[in-house]
This record gives sequence, structure tokens and C-alpha cells, in this order.
Amino acid sequence: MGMKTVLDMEQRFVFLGSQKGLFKEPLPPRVFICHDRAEVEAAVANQTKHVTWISFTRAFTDILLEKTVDARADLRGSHLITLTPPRSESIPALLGLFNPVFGLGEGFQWLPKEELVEAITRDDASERVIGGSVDLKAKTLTLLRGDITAVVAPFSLFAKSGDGIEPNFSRLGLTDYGSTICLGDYESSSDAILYELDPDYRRRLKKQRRQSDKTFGASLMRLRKQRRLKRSDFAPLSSKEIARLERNEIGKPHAKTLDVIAEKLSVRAEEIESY
Amino acid sequence: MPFDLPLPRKLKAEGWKVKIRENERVEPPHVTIMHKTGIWRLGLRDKRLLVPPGGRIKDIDPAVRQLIEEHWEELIGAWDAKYPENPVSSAEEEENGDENSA
Repeated sequence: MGMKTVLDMEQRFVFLGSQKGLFKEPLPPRVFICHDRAEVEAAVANQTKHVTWISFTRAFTDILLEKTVDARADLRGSHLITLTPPRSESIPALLGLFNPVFGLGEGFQWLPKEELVEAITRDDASERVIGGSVDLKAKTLTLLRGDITAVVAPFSLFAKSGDGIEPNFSRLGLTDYGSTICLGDYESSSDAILYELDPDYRRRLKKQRRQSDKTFGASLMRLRKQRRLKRSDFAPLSSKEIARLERNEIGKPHAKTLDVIAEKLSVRAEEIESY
Repeated sequence: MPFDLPLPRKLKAEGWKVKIRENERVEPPHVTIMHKTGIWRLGLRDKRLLVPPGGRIKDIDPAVRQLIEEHWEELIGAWDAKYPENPVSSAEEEENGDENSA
């Protein structure tokens, strides 16, 4: 069929019963797809732990359950996402076999399928929100990240905007490949929520910021400020050229340009990046 | 409703979006540019790409960049309307002042 076979067991995501055209060829390296009962059976027989199963339909969830029980497969540590809620009678068994399981209730909202497939298989999946549900009584919003961890956000995180737009928690939706949470007309970046709720996420952002400060542009700006120079003090270079260099919009400057800058800064050209 | 910079049909069809949403990580003020899974945050004070996620300006379609440039004041106005407690003009603007003096 041209797709990867279920015997390729290095994959991490197993999609069950996906629609045609949803996956672009070639498939991402950690993904494979089961189109029928036999492929599910083979996948269950060969899979080890730490696999994310994503079932598109109730029928495929039933097949997965049946084959897992038949094979006496130990899938503890495997995640299960049911994009269509399973039969209520099957829920206890699913909870016993997989951990965690998301999408058991009717109220769960998901990214559009084609966006979900992209978001969940990316390296930055943990920074994207692929599903969510609202508890109006407890005033909380549970958001499922692409790495299949959940964060629970209080409604109070979604403040009314200055132009008067308020969140409507009865109208949850997800878009932009998991980077936007819609609450009616109100939109929140997932990044804003994760920044508030996840200390590890905050630490990662801080680290990235530190790394970005190592660029030539950042060094040039730091050094220029330290020397109390204006961008217009680099004649014959224009202040716009200096600004573009500081914004890293120009690759490595020419040697002559670098010499001019170094002379004005009273350093050797090769030293600029050390600041 | 987020501020959504109107884009020509072709850019929309390609998946480009330029947004200021109601709930952003607010500091520093910025506009979010999206292209499918790609995300850039462009600072409204200094026109730099914020890190994270960083990225390169040249990876943004030139037509999108052009439109952003043309609607710069509108974007600043949209940010200020949504985040009046943290307006674009509130930071020390040594850099802009410097450029303007050139």
C-alpha cells in the first residue's frame, strides 16, 4: 500500500482507522497507521510500551480493545486517545489497559484531525494543545498537550482583554496546530497558558532566551551600549545597517564592515562576539 | 475577537496568519505570525523576532512582511487596545530614538 507496515516497530504513534489523505507521504519517522483489523492485531502483537495509540473511530477502539485482550498484551505505559468517545461499557477495560486515556467523554474537543496529526508528531508537541475539555462547575479548563500530558487551567487565567472581549467557556475550540485555544470570540495562545502553569516550560524558555543572546547581533548591541555609542556613530555605515546587524537580519558582515565596527568599538573584530 | 491582519486570498490559502490574540504572553508586545506549524513572534517595539521561538525573518513570506510593514501602526494600535496596561510605547525606546535621529 506504500505506507509503512505495522511490522516496523520503531514507531511511536499508531493511528487507527485514519481517513485517506490525512497523512502526507512520506510519513514522519515515528508514525504508522493501521487500516484494518489485521494491521491492528499485528501492531498490538509487536508493540512495546510507551506508544501513543490514536483511534479515529469507535469501531477501531473496539478492535484495539479486543486484540489487546486476546493477545494478553501488556500495554501499561501506552497512551490512548479516542477522538470519538468509546462505548461506555468499554471504558473500564480501556482504563485498565492503557494509561492515560483521553477522550472518553462527549465534551472533549480536539484539534482538526489533519492539524492533530501534524502537531502530535512534532518535536515541539509538548508546546501544543491537541485537545481539551471544560468543567463549568469547577471553573477549570483541562488541556491535553501533544506529549499526552494535561494541564488544568483555572478560568481566571483568561482575563478579559482591554478591548472588552471575554472568554466564552461554553465554546471551546483549538486551532493553529495547537498554538491557539478559542473560547468563543476570545483567543488565547497556548504558550501564555503553559508559561503560567508549567515551571519546566518556563525554564526551557529562559534557556532558549540565553542561547539567543549569543548571536553576533546581540553581542554587537551589548558592546555598543557599553561603549555608550549610538547606531549613528558608525559612519560610513548607516544606523539602519547597524540596526539590521543587531537584529541578525544580515548574515555574517563583510570583513570591511566588521573592521569599521571594531574600530569604533575599540576592540578586535574577532572579539565582538565574545561580549 | 483577535486582531487578524487581513491577508490576500493566496497567502491565506497557503496558511499564513498574522494575529494579536486576547491572551498572549505579554512581555514584550508582539504580533504572532503563523504558517501552518511555523510560528514567529515579532516584537512591536524593536521589530525583532522574539526568542522563543526565534527563527529567521527571511523565512516569512516577503508579501507577509510587506503587509506587516504597511500596517505597523495598526498592529501597534491593536496591541495597545488589547493590552492597555502594557502599551508598545511604554518601554524605553532608545533604539527607535537613535534610528530616528540618524
